[in-house]
Amino acid sequence: MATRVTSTAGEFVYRSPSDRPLPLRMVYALARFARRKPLGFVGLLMVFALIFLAIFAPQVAPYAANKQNIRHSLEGSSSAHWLGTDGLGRDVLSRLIFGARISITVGFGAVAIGATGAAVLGIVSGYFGGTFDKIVQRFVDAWQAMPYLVILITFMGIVSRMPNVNIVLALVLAMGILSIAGSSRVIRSQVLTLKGAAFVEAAESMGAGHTRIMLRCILPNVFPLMLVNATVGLGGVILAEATLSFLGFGPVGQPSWGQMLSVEGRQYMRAAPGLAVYPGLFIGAAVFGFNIFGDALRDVLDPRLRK
Amino acid sequence: MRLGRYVLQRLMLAALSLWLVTIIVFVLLRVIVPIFYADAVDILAADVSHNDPQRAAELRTEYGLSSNPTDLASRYVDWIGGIFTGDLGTSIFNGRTVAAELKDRLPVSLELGLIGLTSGLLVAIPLGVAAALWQDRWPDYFLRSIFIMLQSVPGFWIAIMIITLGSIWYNWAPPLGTQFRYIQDDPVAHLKIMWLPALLIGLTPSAGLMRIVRTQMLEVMRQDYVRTARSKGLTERTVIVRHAMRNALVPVVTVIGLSLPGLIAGTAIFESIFTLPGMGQYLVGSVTRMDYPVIQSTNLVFAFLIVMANLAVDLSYPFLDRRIKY
Repeated sequence: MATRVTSTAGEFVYRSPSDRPLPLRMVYALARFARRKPLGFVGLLMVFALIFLAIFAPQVAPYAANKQNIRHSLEGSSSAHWLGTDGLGRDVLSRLIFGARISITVGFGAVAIGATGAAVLGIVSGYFGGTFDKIVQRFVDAWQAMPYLVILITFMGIVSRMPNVNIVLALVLAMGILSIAGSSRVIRSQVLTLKGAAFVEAAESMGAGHTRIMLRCILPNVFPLMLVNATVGLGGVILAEATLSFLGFGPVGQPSWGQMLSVEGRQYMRAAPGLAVYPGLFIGAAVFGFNIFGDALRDVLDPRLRK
Repeated sequence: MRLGRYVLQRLMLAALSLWLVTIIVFVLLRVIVPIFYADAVDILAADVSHNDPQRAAELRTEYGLSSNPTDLASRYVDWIGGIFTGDLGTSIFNGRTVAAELKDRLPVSLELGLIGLTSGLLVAIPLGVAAALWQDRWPDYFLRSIFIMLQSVPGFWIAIMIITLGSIWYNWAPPLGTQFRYIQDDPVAHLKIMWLPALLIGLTPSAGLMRIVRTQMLEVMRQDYVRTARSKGLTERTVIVRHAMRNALVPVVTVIGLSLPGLIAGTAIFESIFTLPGMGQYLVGSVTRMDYPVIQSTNLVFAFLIVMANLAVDLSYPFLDRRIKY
């Protein structure tokens, strides 16, 4: 365990970067990412800020999300209400901060389902190949040709009307399942190249079974690709959630950006234009953050773009 | 006859896609939603907080709801059989046939989508080429940042901003569909209503298109045949327009195909905002009214449009690029 040696000046030095403890390695990796992809790093910071707001919304937000104060309705910006108040006198900034919760929950939930499903479908279909792969891929073709948002509108439009339904869960499941097909394609094509790799052959010659090869040899190698797909997909999911909420098919009872924009924003368009402006800016900032971070992550991690 | 086989293969694939869509929509509406959630009658009962089992049973027959598998199967067969004879079902809500509604509504949505796509392309192609020619200089950075932002911001927000700020600053509001005129009745009034939503629909897809045009253009400008064209003494303009652009645009056709679902979804949202009597508004309205036959068939029509557009994209490759052989 001679990972650390004492230098002449008497301080600890690590012999090689890989000897550094994990937290330090992560800091270095982050610093390298910031140097190579400054714009992507800005995106990462925006993503962190958003996650922070979502988790600590009750602590960060100056007011409770649904606290009404009719006497102070439709006020402009002030020191008490930074972004003003809506028609029921609720604090807009607080509602926007709480709104991050829905976007983040739906975004990460849907993407987690989508990425896992895509990995299973892509790896199994690509690894076994042959007729099985051909049949699966025709179904993926059809799946991709489906009008994504139209089916979402249909499903959520009905489900959101029902009493005692967890709308967020329904949204996560629907968006997750619908997004499987697209990213499974990318993973499958990566699996096709990996299948011929020497380490897969080595594992086969040692008598490893199909499951073992898929889990231990192929999955770790498609993982970066899954990560990239998920990050790039997050922005799209947040946009889709905002669209559904805007149409009135999103979660009710708790504030979401799309619903704020549609209900309050359109109703008081002339009296308080801020009600329409700010939710849009929050949606834009969130999607922008995920998009530029995802693009940078793709440049760094996608094996097809590595030079 | 390889091309013929290719066409046949694509056609069969399109048919398979559509068939899968019918299954998914039908199962979603009539099996998954009732099992895990509730059906239309439960919702109606909850809405009026009235629970009368006998009336509920009557309504279920009227709505054609059933949990009996043989009943469901015969409903599915009826629906599919009807489609082949041009009968897309009848609205429970107002008794109008879906086919009759489509005759009025489909042209409105297609017009929106086509104007949107064309205007989006007219913006995206020149700007994408410009960004590539000025690579890594300020026009490139400027255009790319604008378009990345455009991709992040929801299109419906831009629409609301235009309506809001227009009415506050200029006391101008776009005419909404309440006074909708069909093109055959009053073309001028029609275009006055349609131009803004149509342009806005094309805006978001144009951002993705511009980025892909730029990447393709950069790729092509490095090729040997561009250097050859230059060394022949052709003007830069000819090199770019005749040699580079024509080759750079082939993959763009794929992206157009990929952006179509978004474009169609866009019509659904913008038709709701601008209250235009198109397909998207029809879908959103029928979903809120739980009008099962209409929901089923509008979904199918949207899927049909997307599948046909993708088919057209696939079939255009051999003509666009002679190197592609099937």
